[in-house]
Amino acid sequence: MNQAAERLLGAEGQVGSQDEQIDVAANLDAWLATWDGTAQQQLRIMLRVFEHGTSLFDLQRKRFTRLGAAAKDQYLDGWMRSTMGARRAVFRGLKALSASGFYQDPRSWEALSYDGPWLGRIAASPTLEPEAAVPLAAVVKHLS
Amino acid sequence: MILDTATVDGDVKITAEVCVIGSGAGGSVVAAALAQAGRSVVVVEQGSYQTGRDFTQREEEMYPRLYQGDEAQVASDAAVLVCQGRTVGGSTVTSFCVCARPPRRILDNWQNKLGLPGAGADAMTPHYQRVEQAIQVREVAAEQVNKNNQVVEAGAGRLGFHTTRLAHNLVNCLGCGYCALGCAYDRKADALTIQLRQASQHGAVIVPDCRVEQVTTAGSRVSGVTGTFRRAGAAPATLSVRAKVVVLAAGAIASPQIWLRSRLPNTNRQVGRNLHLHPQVLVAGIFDEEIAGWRGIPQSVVVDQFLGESNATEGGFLLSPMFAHPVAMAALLPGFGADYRRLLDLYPRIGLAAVMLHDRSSGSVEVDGSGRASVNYALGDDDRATLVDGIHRLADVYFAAGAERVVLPFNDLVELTRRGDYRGLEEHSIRANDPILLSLHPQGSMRMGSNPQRSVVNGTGEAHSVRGLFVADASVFPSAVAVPPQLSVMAFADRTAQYIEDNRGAYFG
Repeated sequence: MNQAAERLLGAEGQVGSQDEQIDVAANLDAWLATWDGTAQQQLRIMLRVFEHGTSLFDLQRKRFTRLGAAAKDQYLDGWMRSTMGARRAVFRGLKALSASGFYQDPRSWEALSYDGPWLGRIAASPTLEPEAAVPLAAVVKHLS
Repeated sequence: MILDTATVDGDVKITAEVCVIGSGAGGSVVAAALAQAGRSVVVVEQGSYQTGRDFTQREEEMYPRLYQGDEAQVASDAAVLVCQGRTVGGSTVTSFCVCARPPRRILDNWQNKLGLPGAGADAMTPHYQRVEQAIQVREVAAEQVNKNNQVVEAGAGRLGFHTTRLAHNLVNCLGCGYCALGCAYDRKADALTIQLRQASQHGAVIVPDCRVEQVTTAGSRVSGVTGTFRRAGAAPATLSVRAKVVVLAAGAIASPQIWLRSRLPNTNRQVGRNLHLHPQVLVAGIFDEEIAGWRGIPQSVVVDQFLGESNATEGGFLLSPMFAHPVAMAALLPGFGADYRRLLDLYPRIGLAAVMLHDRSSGSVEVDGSGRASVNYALGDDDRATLVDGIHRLADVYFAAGAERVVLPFNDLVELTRRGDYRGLEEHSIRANDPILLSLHPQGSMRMGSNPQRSVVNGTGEAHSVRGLFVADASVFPSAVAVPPQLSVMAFADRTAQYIEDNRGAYFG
């Protein structure tokens, strides 16, 4: 995932597990853990097809993560422009995942001049006291 | 009162006069109205209970917590991404707060051509007024129109296109711009802060974290609802609600799913059909000045010049500014690699707006034998042509406003650099997954009508085939309402609630 994100986002050297890098795959793990089993399985299949589809779609002998940068870009371009709707959908999906894993990290915001959430930065408060949730026993008593 | 589902340690059986499925624009209005009338009301919501204090303004945290994420939120060919709220308060919590009545010709057509007495614009006025008052709808003040909206308003004005300043359900808005992630300051007068509070204060019980599995019947009458609690890490538990009236208000994607999963009568095969998605694509204008579209109210102006011919009840489009924070913007902008990165690094200078199609095309929501749902939708030829026209007009608007270039919504990076030279648009085909279509306003999948052979519910929202079962969400619209439907959902739900209460003897004995 990190290798795809690096090429997709044009973030050479910025994606990875080093301290100064943004670990897109690790950032996504927490979110993906909330997906149901079917969705996780579909994602695994999608990533596997993408990784190993190089021989089928690009006549490459190496899988995606073993390709050089130019070959990776060429392979991604094939998915983006494909005549097969499913491949275009995979491209969009990979890009959306990459964007989520990378741009959730505040270190990526400086390049965008995005100043980030107000919370913790600008003094403003909610105006309502949240209604407290009540235990089941109270609900049952109320409705009986 | 709101149930703390952490205290649910086994199957739950409760009884109420009314069970409302879904706590968004429709369900909350019905719940508030009937609870205030003295009915015992239970609202079952699939999403969790979160308030302003839980909204962190962080995309990666709020998207999974506030939005639907199941399989039916993407069309079966992945060509349309449906974005709907899944939290107590539904999509009203994540909306851009636009409150617009539909063109009166649409409502009058429902009344006069489709035989729905009381659905016309004049007859619906008291219902619109009541909900507008409840959620404090007012026009956005001039000083609250941010730069992203100003450039569209200015460009359209130079071209002589009609624009309208939008009305919102915002109260003392601070202009932080995080509407789509829930208002951390409680400045939205939405279902969470208004109607559900009213309902709760009048005795309604709100049950979050519970997915409704089935609506149950006894003979030809509705008898209740069954559901499953879905709290992460909790032991499985079921909910069973006995009720004399059930109101389906889970939205135009989920409501027909529940109907079909319940195997309720569908002899005319209308349940799930006639789905309109009000699809939209996003077009960016690159300016040589700062736009900073993430600041301020995201959507305060609309170009409504092209919303069909003067008497047309369908077709046409709106052009409306909107904006996205970095994660969503990075997912939406076209291309990849170095060129894409250079584009994204212009984030402060990007203007973003949507072409919102008043679609003639319709699709369907289906449920297979195992209960798995799918959404099927494809743009027809005329809608594809209208979409291209909309992109063309929006490019005109951006160039008239001074944009250096316009970025089209395709997969690959296609830019227009000069007004009138739109070969990049004309040479690009519109096909599935290119451009990606967004749907924030699905509607029409269980339409109302006077003819039981061609509709699912009657003009009051009650099912033709099941006594006591009502639908009160955007599913009931016989045609797309052309504008963001939140206000119309509330108005028609208000009408349904009034009907139920006016006929309480027939339903509650």
